[in-house]
Formats: sequence, C-alpha cells, structure tokens
Amino acid sequence: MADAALTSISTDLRQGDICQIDLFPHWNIDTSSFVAGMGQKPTHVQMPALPKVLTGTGTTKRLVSICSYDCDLENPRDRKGILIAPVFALPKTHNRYEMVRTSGELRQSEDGAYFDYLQLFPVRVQDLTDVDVEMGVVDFSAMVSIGKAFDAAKILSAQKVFEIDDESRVLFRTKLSAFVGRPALRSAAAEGRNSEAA
Amino acid sequence: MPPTNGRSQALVAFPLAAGLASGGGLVPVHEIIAGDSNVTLRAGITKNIEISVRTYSMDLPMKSVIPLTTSTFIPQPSAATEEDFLDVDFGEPEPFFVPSSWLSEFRGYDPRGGEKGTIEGGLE
Repeated sequence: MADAALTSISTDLRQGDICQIDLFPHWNIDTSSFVAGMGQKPTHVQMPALPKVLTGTGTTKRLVSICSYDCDLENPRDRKGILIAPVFALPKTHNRYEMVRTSGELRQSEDGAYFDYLQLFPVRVQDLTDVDVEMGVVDFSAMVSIGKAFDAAKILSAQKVFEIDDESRVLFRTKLSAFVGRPALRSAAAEGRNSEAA
Repeated sequence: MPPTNGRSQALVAFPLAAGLASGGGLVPVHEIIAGDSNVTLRAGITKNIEISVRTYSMDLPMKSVIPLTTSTFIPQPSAATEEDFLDVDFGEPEPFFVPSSWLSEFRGYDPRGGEKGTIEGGLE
C-alpha cells in the first residue's frame, strides 16, 4: 500500500474519513481572545482559523480527517465532540516528498519497526481539491474536538468526500494511536532510539 | 469621545473591541459604518483586524463588553493562493520505534467486525 486509496463512499462516518468544514479552528494561545457578556467573566474563546488547510473542490470549505474511533462515531452519547485533524497539501516539490508520501506505512530496520513523521498520515487528495496536488497529509498535531458530538457527526457525515479502504484504516488507527499513546519500548537501548521523537 | 452615529455602529464596534481586549481598559476600537461596502473582515481575526474606516481609543470596562456572536459577523476565509497551500514545512522525519507486542494488538482488528484490514502491507 503506497497511500490511502479511494473506495466507495458510504454515508456512515468512520475514522479516517475526509470531510469538509467551513474553517479549521486553531486556539493560538498568544492571539486568541476571550469574550465576556455584560458584567460577566469571559465565557467564549475567539479562535482564528488555521491557515493553509486544503480547500475542497469548488468550495472554500476545508478538508479535515475524522480521528474519533468508530464506536464513538456510531454512538456519541456521552461524548463532548468529534475529533478531527486538518489536511495539508503535500506538493511533489517538497524536498522529502517520497518519505512523507509513504509515511503511513511502518518501516523496518535492524532495530525494529518505526514510523517516520509520527504526526502525519498521507492521503490521496487529487480529486478532492482544486489545488494542484495529488497527495495531502493529515496532521494529528493540530487535532481538535468539535461539538456537540451528535450534531457534529451529522454535519460531518453530510460533508464527507472521501473514505479510505480497510487496510489504510488500520494503518491510520495504528499511527494515530502511536502518536497519542507513544507506546514504550522495553529496553533502555530501544528507548533511546525514540528519545528524539518522544 | 468616539463618534456616535447610531445604534448600528455601536453594535458592531463593541463586539470587535470585546475580541481585542478581554480584560477591558483602554483599547483600540475600529469603527465600522453599517452598510459600508468597503468593510472587509479576514479569517484569523485577532488583534490585527483590517477594516476600512478609522480607529480610536476608548476606555472599555469589562462590564460594557458585549458577547461576540456569529450573527455579529462571520469571518471569511482569506483569499489564499495556490502558493500559500503549497508552502508547507513538515520538519524532520524523527523516526519513532514501536514495540512488536503493541503492534500485534492492531493486527487484523476491526472495531466493526467487518472485512479485516492488515498491517502487514506496511511491513514489506
């Protein structure tokens, strides 16, 4: 598998799906402002939109990837929101294009299996955007939760434009889990190999 | 004193000021005349709102701040060019090793019990 492949699009929302939203929020702690009501303490946060998030075809809506697990999407009952991450362009002119394009796969070395660019997952976006790129990357490090969960799932499902295949979904979940959980290697020597990324 | 040309102006100016100064105090207020076709708001509005007319300072106590709502104004996406989208920096690859025991937990697992994926495809 070189990159996430397009399959038939169902109306069900699943982890790894690509959807569109108006803007992708970014809580920039330096510039985001708090807003208050009359005589009240601040209750709202005014967040700027994250720049450079890819726009969809024929729209200014932004491409995002669903990061919540399938069971949370199927039954969001007590969940506060749905986790999404932005999709950025991966231009062929990028100096590490091939390395990033294949970074969804585990690589093997004498020291064991490893991921490059732990925060990224490549997806094919050629038919999903007017920007002249074949590939994009989901950036887990900019992941946010949007709510309310039930309403967000409904809106995202209506704006779903891409569904990755089962093989890619396993890789997506594995890399996302590694990014969030940072599973520890057992030996000190092995731990040392991850000192840079952890 | 700021000009007071009518209610519509105040309704717009105060929410903008609220976004600029959460703590109140002396803040810049950007005056907008309702209906002015030159008024433009850009995505990522923070402390550098670019709007048309004039700017002045006023003492804005916290209790005067009016909530900013989406009905007050809706930030429009900036007119990003193709070059903007393509100007990306992903940093260094920074390899992260994962234990085989941990990987095995994901092998063939499908939370919906459908067609099982495989991780071997990435382990060639």
